[in-house]
Amino acid sequence: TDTTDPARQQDAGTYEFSLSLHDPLTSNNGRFLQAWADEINAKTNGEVIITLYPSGALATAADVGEMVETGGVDIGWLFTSYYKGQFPLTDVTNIPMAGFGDAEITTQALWDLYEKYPQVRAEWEKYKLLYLYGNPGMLFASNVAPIDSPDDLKGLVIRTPAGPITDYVTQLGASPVVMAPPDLYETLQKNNINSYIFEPAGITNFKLQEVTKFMTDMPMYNGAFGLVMNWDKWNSLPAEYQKVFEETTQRAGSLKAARDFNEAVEAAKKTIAAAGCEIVTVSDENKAKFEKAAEKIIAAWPATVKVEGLDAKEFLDDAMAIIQKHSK
Amino acid sequence: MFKLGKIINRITVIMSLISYGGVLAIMVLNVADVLLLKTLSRPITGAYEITEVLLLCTVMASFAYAQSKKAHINVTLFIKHFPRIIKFMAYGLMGLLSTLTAVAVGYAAILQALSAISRGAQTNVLMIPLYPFYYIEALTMFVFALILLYDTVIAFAAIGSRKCEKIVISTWTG
Amino acid sequence: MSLTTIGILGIVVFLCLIFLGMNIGLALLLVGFLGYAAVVNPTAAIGVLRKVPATQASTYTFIVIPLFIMMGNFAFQSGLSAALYNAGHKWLSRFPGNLACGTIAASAGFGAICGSCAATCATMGTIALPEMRKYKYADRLSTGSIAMGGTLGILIPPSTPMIIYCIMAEESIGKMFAAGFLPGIMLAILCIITIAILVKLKPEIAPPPTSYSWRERFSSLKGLIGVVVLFGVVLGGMFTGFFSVNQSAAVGAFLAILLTAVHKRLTWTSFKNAMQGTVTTFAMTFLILIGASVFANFLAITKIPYLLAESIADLDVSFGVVLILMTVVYIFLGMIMDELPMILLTVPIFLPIVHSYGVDTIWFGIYIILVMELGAIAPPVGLNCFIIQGIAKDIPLSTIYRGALPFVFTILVGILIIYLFPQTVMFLPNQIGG
Ligand code: NA
Ligand code: NA
Repeated sequence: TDTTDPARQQDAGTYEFSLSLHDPLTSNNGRFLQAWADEINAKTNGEVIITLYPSGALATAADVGEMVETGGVDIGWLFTSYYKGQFPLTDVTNIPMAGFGDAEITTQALWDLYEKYPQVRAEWEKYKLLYLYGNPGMLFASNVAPIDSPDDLKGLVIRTPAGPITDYVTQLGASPVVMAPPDLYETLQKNNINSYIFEPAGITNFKLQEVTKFMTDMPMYNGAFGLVMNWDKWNSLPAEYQKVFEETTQRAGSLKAARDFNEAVEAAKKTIAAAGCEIVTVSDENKAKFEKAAEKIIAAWPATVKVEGLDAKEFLDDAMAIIQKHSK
Repeated sequence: MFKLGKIINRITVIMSLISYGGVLAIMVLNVADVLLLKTLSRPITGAYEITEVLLLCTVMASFAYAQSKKAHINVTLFIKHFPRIIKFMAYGLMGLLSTLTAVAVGYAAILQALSAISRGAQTNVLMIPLYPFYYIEALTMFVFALILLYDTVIAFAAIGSRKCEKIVISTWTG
Repeated sequence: MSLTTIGILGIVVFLCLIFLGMNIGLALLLVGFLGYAAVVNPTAAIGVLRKVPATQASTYTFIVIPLFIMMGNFAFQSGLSAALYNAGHKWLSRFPGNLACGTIAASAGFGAICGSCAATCATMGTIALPEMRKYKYADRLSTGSIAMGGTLGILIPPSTPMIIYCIMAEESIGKMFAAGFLPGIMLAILCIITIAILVKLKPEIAPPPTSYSWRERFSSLKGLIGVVVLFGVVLGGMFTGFFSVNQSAAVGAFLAILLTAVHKRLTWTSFKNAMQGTVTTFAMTFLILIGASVFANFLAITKIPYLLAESIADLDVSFGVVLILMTVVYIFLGMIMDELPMILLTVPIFLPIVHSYGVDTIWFGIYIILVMELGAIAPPVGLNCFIIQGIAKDIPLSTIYRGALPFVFTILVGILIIYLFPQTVMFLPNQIGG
């Protein structure tokens, strides 16, 4: 039978869980999580049934964390950028031009940091952490002119996700505007913003290629995603099923998610180019300029992080060393 | 009893001022934002999130005020034809359930405020702490509950009092 | 107890509560909360109450609701809406039911740029309702046409529900917008035909046709300068893309206050009246929005929308039959839940079925928008009808539902037309190509 149909799963199964995500089922992340839910179902002989609630039908992107904590949702797909102040260390990947690279490198770094630092684990202790992975990198997109050097940002009204990137673009002379992704299409169409920062799979998910002229093929920083589960629900599972969950997720599973994300970006770039949007490349010389401009933001980062018993500067240096190791 | 009504009236004046002020502030902020955007290409930093927290306070405060003006919607289509005792018993009972619901939302908002404090939740750009707004939500929901409770007592009193009956019936439609 | 049983029980309890006189928004909230507690557990239900009301009340795009309502209230205080309806009445006086038709046209124009059913309905309600009552239109006809007019906006682009549908269905938003134009105009015309039929059948629901001298007609235009300024800036700004919807709501409200002052009508009393009307109207709108959202969470977790959609997926019948069954499911769901969650939960299941019949995704999108319109006016949870009741407390809800009912059939006729003539939907997007 087709296990993607929630209603068909109703009669069988001893353990039924809801999984909330804010992306649509047709997005790369939606498909990945559905495949995982199917895998769990198969490996537990149909005993564990996970029903996906996509497009934020059960909990919005900013609400899902606490809904998992209180049990309103059993499993939630959580994007840390919606939780300002709650994942300061995990969000180290949000520092612009720090070299986190693609999704796979970011994911390796996230797990190294998660395993090494109890303070990073503490950020996730309210839930059972299943997946933890990065996205393949956020890019500039513009409707004014190609962005291929820091000077091109002057005077732009740009939609940015929250975090250090906001300070970065402000420093380069742009005016940041924060808004939710579903509002982007109309706002771009009406020319109320003339540029934005997003990752390519997100651009195609929200159809933004239809209203975008230029996209700069230079990842600036990476967002972090967690798939988290309510503790009571986790503890309700027998050990053998917990083992199935752990074997399919954790570091190995997260790396699989990261590779899947990387591939989705390659496909997305083709879609974006096919829609008539120009893909702009940045010369090494100009990339160095972008990096130079970010030095101040990177240096300022440790002061913005206040975590007890941790030297944020040392943590940042260590994170940079970890990226270096995985980038080779 | 009616003295309590006067006290409640005074509280609803405060609620009305918050909602009037809130919606005017949202308007002024967004007009200023669009003017700056169109003339200087410089939107107000954080206008989006200030608007969101203003809207939260405005909407939450408006509930109590709207209840004092009997602006919320009740379907009285059927119960107005019931015999007197059943009619006001039912209406009072529904008022009681409404009161409890408002209390539940207020209670949940307090839990949310405490959780926001422990998590250090804040807005994205201006990093305004979120917990005070949950306390405002809780406070306004309790005021809403208080007014609902007052209306509930009047509804039950209407079983025996012509004066209260008039008050209740005057708010009924349908 | 199975999930389905709990779900059905919840619906029944909700209906009992509102018919016993409970506040509708709070009844939705209470049943949603208790239902969630029954299906999951009390802690989870409290968790829903902790997040959902605050999130709903602090959603940025919802500022159009208070701001456009404020614009409507000040347009009324300044005499702008009176001038508009006076001119409409004088110029269209020979056409029976003219102001009702004018309201449909104005709602379509306003909703075209606004994109939110609730905001359009509340704005047009404050502007049109007092005027139509002044000209002795039966409450049934005026409220019915405002409720229906408020829904036209989501069919005429831009439209938020269309964007959300396209994201779910991986369809081009530009094509979808193009597809909405002809059906939007078609539906507006169908509404006007409906009104003409209603007036023909029961002439007493509209004032009899009268005639005015050309002098009277032209002098009625004098009052329209303010209207032209206000709607010119708000609608023009949005159509040309100079303003976003949220921005023009703020600018429109501001201009309306300014024009009230210019017309020397801005007194403390008129200001207070306008603000009181604004706050009470959006308060009751938001309370229902919040309640409906909590209730939708409960229905989602019971999987009832899934089950209904699934039961159709399992059938082996022609597409016409599937379409009828889907429409029945949507009428039922539209009665008990808000439209957006209804779409979020069912479209992912219906879409593959529709595809298996070779039906175009864009065509299905327009169909989905039409059933959303149906849901917004269908009793007992028809948000637009509630909003109008909130604006005119002395009109019974039963009257509003009786007024809205003919338009339910109008929409069904609209669905039939796009089924029989898919070109009404597909012609414009096919011109875009790609
Ligand atoms: Na529209
Ligand atoms: Na409905």
